[in-house]
Amino acid sequence: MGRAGRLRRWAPTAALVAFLLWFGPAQAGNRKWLDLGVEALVLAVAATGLNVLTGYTGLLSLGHAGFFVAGGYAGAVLGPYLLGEGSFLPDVVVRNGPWFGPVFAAAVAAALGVVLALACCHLRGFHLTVVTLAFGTLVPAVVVLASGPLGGLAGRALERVPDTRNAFLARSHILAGVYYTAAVVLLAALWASRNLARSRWGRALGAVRDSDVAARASGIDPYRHRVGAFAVSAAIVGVAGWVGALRTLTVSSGSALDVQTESFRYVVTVALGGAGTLAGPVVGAFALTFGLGLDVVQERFRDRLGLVFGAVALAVVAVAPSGLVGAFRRWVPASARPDAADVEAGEAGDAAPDPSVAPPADGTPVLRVRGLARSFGGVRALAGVDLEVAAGTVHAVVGPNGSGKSTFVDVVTGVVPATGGRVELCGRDITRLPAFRRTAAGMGRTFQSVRVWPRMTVLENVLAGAHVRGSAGLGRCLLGLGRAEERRLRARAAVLLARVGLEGRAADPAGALTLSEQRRLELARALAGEPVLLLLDEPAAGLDPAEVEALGGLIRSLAASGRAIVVVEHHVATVFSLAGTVTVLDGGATLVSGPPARVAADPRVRDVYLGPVP
Amino acid sequence: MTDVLQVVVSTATVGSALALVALGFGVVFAATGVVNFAQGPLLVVAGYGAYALTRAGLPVVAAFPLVVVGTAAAGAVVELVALRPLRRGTMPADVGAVLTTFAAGLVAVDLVRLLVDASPHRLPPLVGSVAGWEAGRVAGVAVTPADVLVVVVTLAVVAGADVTQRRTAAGRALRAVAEDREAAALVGVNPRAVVTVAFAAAGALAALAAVLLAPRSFVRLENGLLLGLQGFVAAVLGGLGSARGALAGGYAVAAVSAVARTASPTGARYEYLLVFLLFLAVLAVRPTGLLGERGERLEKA
Repeated sequence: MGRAGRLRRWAPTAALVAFLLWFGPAQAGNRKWLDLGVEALVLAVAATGLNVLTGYTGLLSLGHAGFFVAGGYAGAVLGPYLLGEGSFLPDVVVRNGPWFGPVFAAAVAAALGVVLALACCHLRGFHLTVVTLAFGTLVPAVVVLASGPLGGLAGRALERVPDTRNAFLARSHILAGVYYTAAVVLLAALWASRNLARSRWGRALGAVRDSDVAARASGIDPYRHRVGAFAVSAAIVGVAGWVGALRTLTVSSGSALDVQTESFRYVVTVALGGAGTLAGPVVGAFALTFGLGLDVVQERFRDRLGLVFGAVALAVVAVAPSGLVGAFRRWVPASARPDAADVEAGEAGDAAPDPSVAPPADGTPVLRVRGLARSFGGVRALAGVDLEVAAGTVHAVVGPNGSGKSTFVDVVTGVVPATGGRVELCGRDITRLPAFRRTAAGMGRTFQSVRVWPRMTVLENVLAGAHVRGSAGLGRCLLGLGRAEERRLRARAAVLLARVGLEGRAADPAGALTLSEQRRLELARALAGEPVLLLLDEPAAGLDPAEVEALGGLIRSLAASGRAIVVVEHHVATVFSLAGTVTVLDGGATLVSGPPARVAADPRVRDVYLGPVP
Repeated sequence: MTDVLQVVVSTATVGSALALVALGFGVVFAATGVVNFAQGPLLVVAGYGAYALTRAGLPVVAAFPLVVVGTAAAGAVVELVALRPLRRGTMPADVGAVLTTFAAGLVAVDLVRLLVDASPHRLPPLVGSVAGWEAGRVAGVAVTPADVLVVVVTLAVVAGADVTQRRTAAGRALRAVAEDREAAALVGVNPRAVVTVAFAAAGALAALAAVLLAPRSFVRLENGLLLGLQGFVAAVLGGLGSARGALAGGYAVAAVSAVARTASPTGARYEYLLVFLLFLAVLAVRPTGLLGERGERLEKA
């Protein structure tokens, strides 16, 4: 990456740090403004946490204030309890106890986040949101039930506070200490959130958000990633709760309505700033706090904040649905963004295919399908299909509309479970394997109606397609480790993009591509998983003759490199020149199978396409 | 025996009100495929609207029709401010609609707080006495004409909605718009009008629920959240969009609460927890509800 690219990437961070370093000392004597600054920082941390779930993963939570409360209690109650007399924790932890508050807060909130996720991550859309809303309303009820340790609705005072006066802020008052603590916490949250967004996990979250089916086809387990997103999101909000407790020196949940309004405040902050962007939550928090003059608002409206936040949300959706950052981005050309630089850097690197994937020798069977059946209710979409595809060959599956071609691809790839028969990949029975595990086993596919992830860049699409070729776990991704793996994947992605002719579009959002480009992107994405078996579902649909020609060349060269390729097509002529073997489906069963010339000559094939000739 | 009867009376009355709320969720979902998170707050608008009118000296019988019309109008306003802007925007409709309807609900509740007040109120019953019968005790359980009224009205409304949904042109238009707006417009249905009418109907249903249940419980700001959530649970339980399902779901949720409250003196604390657990159980087993038929809609999301 060039110096200009690095400058551009770090400029926002540098600006934020400079602002924070200026604001603290400048307002040190002004309690009201400093307090407002702390308010904005705490809100920014909480919104950064929510953004992981809502922006990156596309799940809307209306109960995140519950994690804030949990984090506060964890720091205030659990901390002193664990650190009291006879603590089992190491001495150094006990002595500096209050500084470990964030650890407790993050751990408790993350655990709670996983519990909530397990209750709702099998759901989608508003069902999931209602569960989070109900979770939020239960928080005060739980606080009342556990009145003993939690102090009931009156809340609980903080007993031990990190003594910032003894540290580098010797002359400052305690609020300044809280301010700098909040600032450090915000920078840490942003750092982790940025690492996540640019990592294997972050791309998987975006894939799950943009298209669940395509994510599974790329070897990503949506459920696991949603639960992970909940945990990270909750942990960050929990730490915000700990800072919030330092500020007020008490922890309480407030009423169910309070939890609801507070949760919605995070949502409004994210939406106002721009969901799914790193800067969005921070911009939103400062805009909401200082732009509205929240002190004035809170003074005048005290218990009517719902009115204010509700009105802001409605205005954002009507005027700037992509938020302040989104509106700003429209003025910055895409080529100025860092991702473009990354690809250039990648191309110089090692471009060899993944050494862990050894293509099988030509002629060995890769896919073997026996008696494959699938019924929908009483309709038998597939009624016992047999098929065998060897390495280095192209096998075409054709048939008229409704012959079962699409169902065949869906059942082989595991998107739809089989009701009978058996699927083997390289001799391994995968009939019961979920779709995302089949990808890891060496299967790749494209879709009849394209399913690129429109809000991710072209490069990110291919990188997410290489999910199964990476191994970085959630922890490593949050800490920004695994650079070597990332470099390797980026280098390979650059090669694949060049191979499908999209090398100049790496930094563009995939949704901005033409249909033909999106089809090629899907192909590069499928190849990124280094599959031994590639299923192409009507790859020529919507392409012009020249493009179909180029596609044919590409498919031939892919087969020549040892892959087994299944092309499912409606248009017979397209594939007859390409395939070594053609299978014709009719009514969900194999009609004919053999070399193209023999199949073409078969009168039954003509009958199913044109109707019986008298 | 008294306990059992207490549970039955509580289930019938509260359950009826919840069924009306659930029906409000259902009618909007049937027309738009989104959930109106402002359904609960509309209860608050209706309840405090009725309180304000009676405080101004209007008899409750005269206030009632005004409240129904007013809340229906409020429902239409929710559609105007929450749903219309989404159609132009780039936000995915289902998540966006949760955000905007929820926002509209928060605004509505705080407007009530601002214009009326924030304290809980009791409303006088719509029907004080029937043929000299004012209130009685059946085997030790208090029953009033108002209790009978909420049950009877709900049964009538649900029956009416069920017939409308299945047999009439209005019901078909509703389903057509939900399935495919453009196609519905092609066959002469005005999708905008249908959606607006659905929101207005949701408002009117909220008004019925709020005013009819008011003699039994307080009109409170929290009702927007708590009754709204329970009504949603009832709707999901019975299958979103199904009128009979709303009734069954309403009774089921109310029965769980009533049993919890009757079984233990501290049961009220666990009431919401139990309803929530019931909700999670149903969502885990059958997200389309026990009587639901619109499963394919959820799959698409």
